[in-house]
Amino acid sequence: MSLVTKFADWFHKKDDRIMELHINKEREALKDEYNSLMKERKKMRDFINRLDALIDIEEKFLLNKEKGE
Amino acid sequence: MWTDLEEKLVEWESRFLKVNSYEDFDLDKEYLLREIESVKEEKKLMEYRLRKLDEIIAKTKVLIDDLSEDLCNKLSKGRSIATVAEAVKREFGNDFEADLNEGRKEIVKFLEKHYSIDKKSARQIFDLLEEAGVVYYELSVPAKGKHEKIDFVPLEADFDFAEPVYAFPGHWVINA
Repeated sequence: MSLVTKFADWFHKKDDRIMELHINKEREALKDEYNSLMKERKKMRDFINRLDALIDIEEKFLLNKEKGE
Repeated sequence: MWTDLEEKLVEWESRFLKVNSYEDFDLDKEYLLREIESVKEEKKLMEYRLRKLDEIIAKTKVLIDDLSEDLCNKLSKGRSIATVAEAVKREFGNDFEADLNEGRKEIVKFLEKHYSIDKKSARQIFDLLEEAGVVYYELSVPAKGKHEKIDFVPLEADFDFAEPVYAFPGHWVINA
């Protein structure tokens, strides 16, 4: 399964889960889901930061090579 | 899912490292440009996912607040969190000078009497107020306190001195 499909699948399951918890009035479990989503968010932000760093380093590398450094 | 993402990123990092160490730059320039474009595409996808994740987080928060209001309503015989918080503020003011445990006990006692409810319900309402951030215990950490160790005396259940010593002073804030 591709990453795109995996994420979409994960996302839909999470959305269904939080709505189900709300309908069943499971406040504590909903709070746990919220905390776990915040952790996912942090991971995602870290991942974006690493991608950014990779782009910055390689663009700088290209620029320096073109300048002949 | 995160394992896949991590593997992809580590692969990019090691491929880029390899190319950066090559002497024959012209040979790899096109390759590097293509790879940078792929990383940019991946970043765009991640930013989209992050934005969607923010939506589900915001929705979850609203659903929790919704259930908290329902619970407060049930426990306090029909009052909202805001109404209860106002009543607590009227009784104790914005800054309530009391110890962590004593202050909590007093507010719970007030809720119990004010709404003619049992102690368990009053405690649960207090927890809702704390979760909503309208009632909280604030500790003042002095500048020098950041660099000093906090002393912890391992008290026994039958400790016999009058007052345990705390490093930082504190008070209750009622932010209704």
